Amino acid sequence: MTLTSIRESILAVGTIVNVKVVCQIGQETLYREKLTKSLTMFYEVENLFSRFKSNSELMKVSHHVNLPVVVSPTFFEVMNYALTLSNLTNGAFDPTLGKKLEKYGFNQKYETGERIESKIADEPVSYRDIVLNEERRTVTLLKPILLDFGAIAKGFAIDLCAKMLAEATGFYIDAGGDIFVSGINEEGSKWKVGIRHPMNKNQNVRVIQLTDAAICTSGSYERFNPKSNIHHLLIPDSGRPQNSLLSCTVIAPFGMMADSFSTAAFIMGEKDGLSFLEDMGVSGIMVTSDLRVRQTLKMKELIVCK
Amino acid sequence: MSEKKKNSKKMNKKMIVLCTAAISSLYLTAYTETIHTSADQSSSASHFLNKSKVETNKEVNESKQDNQTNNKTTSNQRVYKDGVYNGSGSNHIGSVSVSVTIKNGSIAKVQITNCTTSYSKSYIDGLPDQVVQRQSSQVDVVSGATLSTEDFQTAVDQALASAKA
Repeated sequence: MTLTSIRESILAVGTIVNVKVVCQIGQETLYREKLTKSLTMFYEVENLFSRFKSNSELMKVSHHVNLPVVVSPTFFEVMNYALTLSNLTNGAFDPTLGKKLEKYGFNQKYETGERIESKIADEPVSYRDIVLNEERRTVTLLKPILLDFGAIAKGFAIDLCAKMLAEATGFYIDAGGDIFVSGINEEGSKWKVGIRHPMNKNQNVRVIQLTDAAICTSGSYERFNPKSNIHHLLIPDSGRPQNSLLSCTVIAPFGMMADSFSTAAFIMGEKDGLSFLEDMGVSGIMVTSDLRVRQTLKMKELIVCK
Repeated sequence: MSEKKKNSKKMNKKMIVLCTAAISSLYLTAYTETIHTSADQSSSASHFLNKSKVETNKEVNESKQDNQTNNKTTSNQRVYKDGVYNGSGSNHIGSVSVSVTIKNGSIAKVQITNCTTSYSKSYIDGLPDQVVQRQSSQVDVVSGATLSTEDFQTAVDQALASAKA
């Protein structure tokens, strides 16, 4: 079996998305088309969940207070997942932080650099101020809330993209460091994934080998706001950034799970975050602010290089 | 203790079920619509790339905007003319090129066509320059905190300047 690969890169969901598909020689044209099509899923997700698009479904919902808004099935399901996780983590994960992020300067459109400001009031809000009605498929905000799905949308887009590439011999999807690997690489083996060193972008703290899994990292080292000099991982209760960890990587069966779990565990911090990941039966690895590496028990099985 | 364990196992299962429901929901509903628009979009973009990758600021596909059936984007404030535009930017570590597709007056796609900055090249190639401790362990891809796209902003700006209607 002779394998080859094709690749495409786009800017989407606020970052660089790079997808590589492994296929047999002769199948390049077929998979080139599938690859291009699968990438449109990232724009699909922007249309649903972008805080930076005035006509996204998220922005439409964000503009109604105390009024049940009928949403699309996809919006509803992702919202349902998000609120379930918020409950499960006692608010370590919370999709209502949009206004705080905006206030701290995380309000720049990635395509143009244009800064946007929503007209939503800045008052204390939490996931408890959102009510879902499954039967009518409605979302009701009890207070003015700027929703933010930044800790889930990228992972969700990865899942949708992965689903469209499922027949390929192998592929990886890399959305700016959030990854899904499937099947085999060109050499016919499982994928080797480096986990980036928080302080040195050319180094990995660990290398793991695996397939059919999502690997997402929440880290405080890449996105700083120059004005406030703070990063984007805010503790919901205080609205301040979490500083005890530099990064938290989670390996899970789905992108949306790895993405949201890594953020939740990052916010919980070293001890609680690790036990949360252990409890949920997923693997994870953390780098603390004093550069210690902590990992879940199962993580050992995946590591090929330390 | 065991009760707690059982409970978290149950929660994990629940989260997996919710993930599956979310992912498949798109396929159950808007999927046909999605395929329709995305097929249109992709064919025009790749057509352009194959044919005239080296030309700059070239415009194609202008007539297409009117026969779009699924006009998802609001077109009341049309800032950009439909078409595909190239732009590039550079800094002290290299240069990047993008191809921006404008559809129905707004940005539909930003494709990275070339990238030679030392920062992003290693990234885009999926191969970091070196790996700690063991040089032999080449990796396919690297997981890290979400990369910012500042390097690409100049390139996109340039492309958009020529897309202004």
